[in-house]
Amino acid sequence: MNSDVIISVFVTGIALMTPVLWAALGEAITERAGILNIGIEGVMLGGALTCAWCIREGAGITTGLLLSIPVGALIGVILSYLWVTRGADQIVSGIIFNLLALGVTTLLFEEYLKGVGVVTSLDKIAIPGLSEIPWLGEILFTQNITVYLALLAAVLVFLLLHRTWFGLYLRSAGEKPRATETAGLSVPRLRYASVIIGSALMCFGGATLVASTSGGFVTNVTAGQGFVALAIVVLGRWNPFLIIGGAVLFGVTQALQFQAQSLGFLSALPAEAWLALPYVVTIVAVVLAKSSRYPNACGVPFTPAGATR
Amino acid sequence: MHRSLRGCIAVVAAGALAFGAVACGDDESDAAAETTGATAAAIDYSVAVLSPGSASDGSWGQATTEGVDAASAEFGVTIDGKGENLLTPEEYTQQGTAFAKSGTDLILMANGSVPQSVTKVATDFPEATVCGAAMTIPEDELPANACTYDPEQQEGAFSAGYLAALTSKSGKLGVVAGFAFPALTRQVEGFTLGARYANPDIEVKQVYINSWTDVAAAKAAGAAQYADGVDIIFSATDSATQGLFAAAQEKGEGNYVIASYFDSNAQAPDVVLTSVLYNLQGVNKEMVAKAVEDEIEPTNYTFGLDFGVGELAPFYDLDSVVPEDVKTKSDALVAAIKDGSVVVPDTTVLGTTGAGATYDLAKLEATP
Repeated sequence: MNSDVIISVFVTGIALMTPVLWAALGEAITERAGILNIGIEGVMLGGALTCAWCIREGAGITTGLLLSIPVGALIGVILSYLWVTRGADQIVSGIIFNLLALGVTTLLFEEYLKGVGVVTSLDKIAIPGLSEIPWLGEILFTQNITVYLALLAAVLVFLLLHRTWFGLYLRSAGEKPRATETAGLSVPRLRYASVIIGSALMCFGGATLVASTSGGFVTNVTAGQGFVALAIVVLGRWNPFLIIGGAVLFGVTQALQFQAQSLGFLSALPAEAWLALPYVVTIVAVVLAKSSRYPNACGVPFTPAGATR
Repeated sequence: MHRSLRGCIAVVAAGALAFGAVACGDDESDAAAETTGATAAAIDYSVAVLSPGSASDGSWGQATTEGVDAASAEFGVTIDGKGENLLTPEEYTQQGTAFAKSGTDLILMANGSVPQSVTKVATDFPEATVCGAAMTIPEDELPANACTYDPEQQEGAFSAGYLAALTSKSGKLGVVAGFAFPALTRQVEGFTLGARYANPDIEVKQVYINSWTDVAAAKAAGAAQYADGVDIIFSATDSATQGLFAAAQEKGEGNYVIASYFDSNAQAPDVVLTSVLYNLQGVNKEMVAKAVEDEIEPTNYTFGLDFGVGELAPFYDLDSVVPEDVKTKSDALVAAIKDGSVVVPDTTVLGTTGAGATYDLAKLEATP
C-alpha cells in the first residue's frame, strides 16, 4: 500500500465524516434536552434537497448551505410541535417522519428537479502553512469549508452545553425536567429550542452531503447516515469532542471498505464483508461503550404542571 | 399561547417549508421530459414499468422509462404506472401484483435481480403478461405469460474495457459497481476481460458499493481508485455515478469516467470520456411493441450489438483524449463482435466474480 493510498483513505474518511458529524452534534443538543430525535435521516434529506435545489436553480452552493439552516429550523418547529406540544411518541413519530421525508423529498425531486444537472462540488481549501505538513496537511488541512466548520461547530456545541447557562438549562431539562420547571424555567421552551437548533445542524449536515459530493440530489441520498449519527452520539457519550472521534472512526472505516476491496490480500475477503465494516465497527464501538447513560428524561414527554394533554 | 394558535403556527411553518422548496424551482424540467413526436391514438392496452432507478436518474431508470414513454407515444398504449426506486423482490412482487390486479396488460420488471417476482406475478395473474429485464429464466420454468429480455451488456462493457485499456496512460483501470449479481457482474467482468484483451498486463480494480444511489460512497470508492493510480473508471451503478464524476474532477486533469446506460456527458463534460449505451429505450419499446402485437412468447429474448446494445456514446469535448488509432481499433472490435469473429462469453461465464481476470483470452477469437 503506497502512501498516496493511505492518505486517500484518511482524506476520504474525513470528508465522509462531515455530514455525520453535523447531524450527530445536532442530535447531541436535542438529546441533552430530553428529546430523542430518531428523525435525523429525514431532517438531513430536507437539507440535501434544499441545497441541491438551490444549486440547480443557479443560486450556488453557499446559498444552498445557508438556506438549509432556516429550513432545518422550520422542520425543528414541526417536530417540536409533535414531541413537545403534542407529546407524541418520539420513536414512532421519528420513524414515521423519516418515511414521510423520504417520500416528500422524492416527490419534490421528481416533480421539480427532474433530470440530473451538471456535477459540481465545493472546492478544497488548503490552509496556508498547515497544508504543507507531510501526510497530516493533506488529510486535515486540505478539505472543503464544511469540514473546518464542522470541527469549529463541535467546539461551539461543547461550549454551549457546558459553559453557558443556556446549556445548563438544556441539560437540566433532559435530566430532571420537573426540577427545572420548579426552578422557574420553561421545559417546553427549552426543548423547542434544542430541537430547532439540533434540526438546523442536521439539515446543514444533509446539505454538506450534497455540497461535498456531486451537487445533485438523488432519492435517499443520505443512505442511512442519520442512523449512524444516532449511534455516534451514544458512542461519543453526548460529548462533542468524543463525537468527533466516533465520526472519524465511521468515516475512515467507510473509506477503507472501498480501498480494501481491490487491495492485494485484503481483496480476498468478499466485497459484502468490507461493505459491512463501518456498521460492524460502529455497533462494536457502541457495545464497548456500554456504560453510556442516556439523559434521564430523554425520550420521555413532559407535561408542565397544571397542563393537560 | 392558546393551543389552537400554536397549531396554526405549526401548519403555517409546514406550509412555508413547502413553499420555500417549491419557490426555488420551476417547471422547465417537466417540459424537457415530455416525449417528443406525435402521439398515436390510444389503444386498449396498458403497461406498467418497475425499475430500481427513477425516471429522472440520468441512468438505467430513466433510459428504461423513456423506452416505455416512446412506446406509449408511438403505439398509443396507456401507461398505468411507473414503480421507481424498487430494490427487493418483495417490492417488485407487491407492485407487480397491484398492477396486475388493477388490470394492467403488460408489466415490465427492469431489474435483473428479481426473476422470482416475474415468475410469481405471472403465475398468480395468467391474464397479465410479465417480462423481466436483464435476467434469464430457464424456459421450462417460465409461465406461459412471462418472458425475459436481456440486453447483452457484457458486449458493451467488453468494448468499453478495450477502449479504456488502450487509452489509459497509467495502465490501471477501475470499476465501481452497484450490487454483485449476474446481470451486473457480467458488466464488471466484461469490462475487465475487454481491458485484458487489449492489454493482458492491464490492472483492473473492482469495487462494489452496494447501492445504486449512494453518491458519497461512489465518490469515496472513486477517490480511492484514483489515488491508487487508476486513470479511467468504468461505472456500473445508477445515479451514484455522480460521485465518480466528482471524484474525477477533484483528482484533476487526465482522470476520466466511462458511464453506463445513459449518455451522461452533460452531467460532467470534462470527465465523462464516453458512456456505454445499451439502447434501453429501444429494447423496452420493442418489448411493448411485441406485447401489443401479441407476439410475446415464454422465452428469453436477447438484444446485442446488432440492436445497438453496447454502443459507445460520442467523446464530445474529450475526443482528443482518445488517440485516432485507438478509435480505429475500437471500431474494428465492435465489428468483430458483430460478425462473430470475437466472441464475448455470456452471463453464464461473466456473471461470476473474477471471471474477467481469469478467462482464457485465446477463447475470445472464434476459430473459423
